[in-house]
Parts: sequence; structure tokens; C-alpha cells
Amino acid sequence: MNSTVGTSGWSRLPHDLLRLVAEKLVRISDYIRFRSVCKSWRSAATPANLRPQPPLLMLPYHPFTHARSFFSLSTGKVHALSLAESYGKIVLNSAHGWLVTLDITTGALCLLNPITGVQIDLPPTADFYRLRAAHVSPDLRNYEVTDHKGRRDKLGFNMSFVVYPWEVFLPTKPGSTGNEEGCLVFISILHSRDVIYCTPGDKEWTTLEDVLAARAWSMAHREGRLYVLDGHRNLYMFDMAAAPSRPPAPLLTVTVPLGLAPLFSLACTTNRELLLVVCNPRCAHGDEPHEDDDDDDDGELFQAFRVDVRGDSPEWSKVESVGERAVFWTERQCWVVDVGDFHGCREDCVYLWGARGGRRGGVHRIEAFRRDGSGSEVLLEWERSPSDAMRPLWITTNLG
Amino acid sequence: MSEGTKEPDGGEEKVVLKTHDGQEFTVDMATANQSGTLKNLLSEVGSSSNNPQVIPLPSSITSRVLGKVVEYCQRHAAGGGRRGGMQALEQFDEELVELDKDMLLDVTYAAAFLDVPRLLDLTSQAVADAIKNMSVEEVRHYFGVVSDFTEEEEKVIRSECPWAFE
Repeated sequence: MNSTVGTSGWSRLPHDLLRLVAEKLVRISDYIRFRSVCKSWRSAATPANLRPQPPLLMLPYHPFTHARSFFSLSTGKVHALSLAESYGKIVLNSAHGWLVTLDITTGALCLLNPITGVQIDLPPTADFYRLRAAHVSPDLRNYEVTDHKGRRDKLGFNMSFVVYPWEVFLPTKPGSTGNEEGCLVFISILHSRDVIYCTPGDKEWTTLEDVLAARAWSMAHREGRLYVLDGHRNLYMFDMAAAPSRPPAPLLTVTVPLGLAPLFSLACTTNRELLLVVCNPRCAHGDEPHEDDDDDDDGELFQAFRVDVRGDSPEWSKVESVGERAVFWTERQCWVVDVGDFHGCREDCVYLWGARGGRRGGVHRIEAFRRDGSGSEVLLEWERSPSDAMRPLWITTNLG
Repeated sequence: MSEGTKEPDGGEEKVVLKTHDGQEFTVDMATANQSGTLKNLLSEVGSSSNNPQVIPLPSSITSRVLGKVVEYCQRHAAGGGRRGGMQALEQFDEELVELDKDMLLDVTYAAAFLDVPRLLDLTSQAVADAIKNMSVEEVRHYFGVVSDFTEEEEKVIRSECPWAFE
């Protein structure tokens, strides 16, 4: 074969054909390298055309380090990533390839794409309730707290939720330039019944006062509507498409007519179904899978209900199978993801992270539970360490 | 014109594909119809067994390359119903694209020119499989692509996701 044909040919491959090849690349690392070969290859592999990536679990970390580790289901390995942008910050939540980071020294909130390093500053948080008497110690090992009598105490970084009792939700996808798709960031503050939100680029947060009966617990966004589930199991629907010209009032408020297990969350699937998912981690004993079966009839680890919102009252129907999807869950997140294409991900499975054991020692564990109750598998188990200040989170990766 | 139409004298319609280097491939209509380009062309000009249409192909499609494409089209015109079903067909596809990189490029071009979408899918998948896990330098060397990034641009690209280059 005449090799000169090929050597000149590959850099002159038409744009469309290069794009076809790029679209076949499964892993983001291969895609990034493809984009780095030359200009024409780069232009063929646009950030938007990257295939959906399987979730990674960001493992426990210490805020004052550059290193963050991620467990990949597809490789079954832990990958370390040096993230200079995340030094001194904790991750409050993650969705759509972005992390919501909180600088625990300044209280500043930021969106960070851990793959590209792009950051989007969010409006100032000076008005938000926080524990004013707490400050990061000079040796960066914990918070120093002064109580009302002037006594000093220490508080570990794992207690950050006491200093910053904030939950952040990112129900819509940010673009790398900010507000491309009407991205909204929501924050819920302890004891507050407000819905507070902003669009990246805003100068300040917008507050909808007293619209909830209790603190927001979970949020999902679908077709311009925001669905909020509060701590009292009320479901609200807001028309965010009308904002900001008209401050949204809830179009709908109903109490969820279901007995909810300890963990419950709203989730919007990739084909835009709204689900209420319920999880009872007590039914997920990896050590003794059969022992509790007799006295725990209603012990279903996981249930999902389709929420059909038409007219004034939504209809709830139990979903027997989540099909080719899997559920990824930590305390603050619940994602229902199509995993058909993801190597190493199992369908109709619930992926849970859990910590076991006492204050000293014990282990972290990532487990996959078959939803039909036919078994579970420990994917990763590692010893807890005192530097594991922050809880793990699922993250997805993308390029913009 | 539908696939496998018999002519009055019983002979099946044929078409002749002629490469730039002078070789001729005579194929039946079902095979030719695997190619969107040929299908469109033949629906206008028609062809018959007595007087088959001769279609000249561009120089980039050598006889060796066309041989591969024809092999693919013949096998797929027969479909999964023959010779071991879908599994055998998948294995055939897999083996068909076990090609060296130059041949892979040429077959990719040919599949694009002749509009054989599933063959194009196979070859682009083969390319993707070949370059996965390769470093940027290895990809450039393998395909003989010369970087046209400036030193500055290269530096910026590498600093964006340094872990991808480790």
C-alpha cells in the first residue's frame, strides 16, 4: 500500500468524516486528546458533541488540598485529579458537569467545570445566614468557633453544614459563558421557607419569600417549570419561564400522598419524565442481605413514582422498572441516568455511597443494588481517614 | 426500480462499477442499492442484464478499496437471513474493517462518497477504536498528521485538561 496516500490524507479528512470518528469516542479523555491533534480535528470535535459520560464519584477530600479523587464505574479505578481551582473550597452539589463550590474562607459561591477549569462566579452571599462566629483556623485544619460566652472551640470541616447551612440546586445546565440555556441556581437556607435563585451573571440573588411550607429538599426542572419538594413533602410547581418579568408564584402546591422512606428526591430523566424516587437505605444491608427479610415486608430499597402533572392535581403511578437507567444517589443528589451506553454501568440498579463504622475507623463503600432486590455488589471499599472531611458526590463530566 | 426485479428474459439486472485503474466489478441491483449514491443514480438511468449501466468511479476509489465496499454491500444485500444470521453478519463486519490505516482511510472515503452509512459507521468506529488510549503524539504519528497549533495554542490546550495528556 502506498503510504503517502494515507499520511497526507488523514489531516485532510473532511470535517464530516472527522466528526463521525469523534462521535464514536466514548471516553472524555480520548475526546480531549482527539481535539488536541490539530485545528481541523479540534473543530470537528465540538464540546457539545461529546457523548454523555457516566457519572464519577468524587471521593471524600480535604478542602485545603489540590487533589481530588474520582471513582470511575467504567474503569473500576480511582483517578486522581489536581484541581487548583478547588483549593479551600467545598462542593455543595454537582449536576450537568458542573460543581457548585463554596469558598469556606470567604463564603463565595462559584460554578466550576472540573474538566475545563472554567469558573462562573455567583452573586455575593453576604446576606445569607451563616455561623458568623466560625472562621477557618490559621493552620487550615478546622473551623474555630467562639460561643456567646467567648469560649473557643473547634469544628471539623465535615461540619461545614453548620457553618454554612446552605443547600444549592442546579436543576438546569449552565453554558460555559453563563446564561446560555436560562441556567438557574437555587439556594435553600436552613429554617428558611424562601426560594432564592439567580441566573449566572446576575448581580444579586432573587428571593421568593415564604413560598414554601418548609425548607426546599429537592428540585427538578422540566420545560420551563421548576418542581420543588420541601421537607414536609409538599410538591410545588413554578413557572420559571415567566421570570424575571413576573416573579413566579407556585402554580401548584400539593402534599405528596405517599409514605416516603428516609431518602426521597425528584428526578428528571433524560426523556423528560418527572420521577419521585424514594430510597430506604436500611433495606440495603450489604453484609447480611437475607437477615432482615422476614420482619421487613415493606422493605423495598428503592421505589420510583411517575409524576404526571396535568390540571390541578398530579397523578402518581408506581414505576416497576427504570428500564435501561440506573439511579445514582448520595445524600443530596438523585440522578436517574440512561446507562445503556455506559461501559461498566448496570441497568435498573441503584448506586449508593455509604459510610460504615464508628468515629474511629470504619469504611466508605460504593455499592450497586439491583432494584428487583436480587442482589448487590460492593464496587469499592476503602478505609475512612481523618482527612476525609467532605462527603462524596456524584459528578458528571462535559466540556461546556 | 425495486431490488431483484427480473427482466422478461429471466436475467437479473446488473450494473458495472468501473474504477479509475480500469477494473470492472459487475454487481446485482440489490448490492448496488446498498449505496445511496448508486441507488439514486440508477433510479434515473436504469440498468439491465443485457446492457448493464457502466458507472465510472473517481480515482480515490481504487480497485482494492472498491473490492472491500462491494464485499460489504454483497453481504449486506443478502442480509442476516443467510449464512449464520445476525451474529455471523456482525462478525463479518468486524473482520471487514481489520485494515491498515491507509486502507481504512480509503474505505472511509469510499463509503462516504458512495453513501453506505453503515459501512461508514464501521470504519469510523474502527478509527475511534484505533486511537483510543493513544497519546496525542501517538495519534499524530500514527496518522501522519502534523499539528498546526502554535506553541502558545498547544500550551493552552494542554493546560486545560492536563490529566488527559498523562
